[in-house]
Amino acid sequence: MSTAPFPKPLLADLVALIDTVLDSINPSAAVYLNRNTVDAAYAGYVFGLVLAAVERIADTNTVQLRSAQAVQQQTSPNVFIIRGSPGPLSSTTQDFGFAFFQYRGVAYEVHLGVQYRGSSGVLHEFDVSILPADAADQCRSSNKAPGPAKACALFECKCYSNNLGIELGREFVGLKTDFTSVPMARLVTNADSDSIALFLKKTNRPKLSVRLAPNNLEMEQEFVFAVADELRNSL
Amino acid sequence: MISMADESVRDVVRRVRSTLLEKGPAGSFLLAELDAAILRGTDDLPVGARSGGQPSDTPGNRSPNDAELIEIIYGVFETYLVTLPSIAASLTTHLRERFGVDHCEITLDRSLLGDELQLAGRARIDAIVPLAPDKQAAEALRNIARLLKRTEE
Repeated sequence: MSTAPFPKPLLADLVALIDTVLDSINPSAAVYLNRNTVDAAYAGYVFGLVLAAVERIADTNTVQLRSAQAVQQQTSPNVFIIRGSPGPLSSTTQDFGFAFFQYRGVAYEVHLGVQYRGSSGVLHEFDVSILPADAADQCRSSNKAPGPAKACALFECKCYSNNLGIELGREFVGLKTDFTSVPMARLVTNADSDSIALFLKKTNRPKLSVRLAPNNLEMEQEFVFAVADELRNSL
Repeated sequence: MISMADESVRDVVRRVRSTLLEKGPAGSFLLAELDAAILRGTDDLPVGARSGGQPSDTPGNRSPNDAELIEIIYGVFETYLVTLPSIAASLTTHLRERFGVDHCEITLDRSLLGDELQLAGRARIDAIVPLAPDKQAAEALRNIARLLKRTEE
């Protein structure tokens, strides 16, 4: 690690460039930007990639978008609504969007930001999750959160400006211990983390996808192929 | 006032912070993220830790040095002014092309929404994220990345 002072001429150039970027920020734009909405938007993006993976393995013409207030309707909603904060799968307070697909004749749903009941009895939320459609229907009719063994795949999504701290890796590993029978769990981020990569390398820990963003087509493809493979083995 | 020639990296960070304060909701968010990123520090593994065997030192958080502070400023700009708008655009495009969805919306607590959205309880994703940077700002960000690369070499 270098501790030498930053070279002055270079710093002057950087200051001018930074000022150009600052000048471009419109004070009246992005009025609802906050940590929750950033995470929800990133989770929505990951949801789109998970759908791309699902389309690689799903039974032909079975992938559809649906919504909470029209569960059985087979046409996509005009507006796709993402949860800005976690909530129950059964909630119809908003027409939350989700995806439906079949794999080897079994129906599944892909949800954003829904809560599951862990083996401890505590509710936990997952940014993106896949569960059998009959388990989802059961939740809707009983108004209860899906139990610890219901999810088939869990994704935790983190959109950060610099490397993730190790605490986020610890948190997800801790969370996963409340869902030991879930076969597939993945921490997904636009950033990177050497520490978390090492931490998650150990057997039976969640997998890690780093530098996943639209400007990184290679990582997007890698993610889609990896998730499709894992789903083939997990569903 | 400090002249640019005498400005230290810490002065630059202070100036960025005070400018962001004047930049409305987007500036407030960027300021909060900048502060959080600086406080998180860096978490790089020491050299040699990946080459097999035990790390030669203990990985963990430490305070950023000068170059890393500039990288943090760049990272905040790049992530929230470039990557985030592209994420929103990518999601909307994918759902539109593949499933015919018109647009995406995100629900928010009504206490965070303006009068016009109280009934809906949600906002369009493109109203939530900043606009993609104009040509000049995008070029400036690319040049910052280039200069930072030069300092690493």
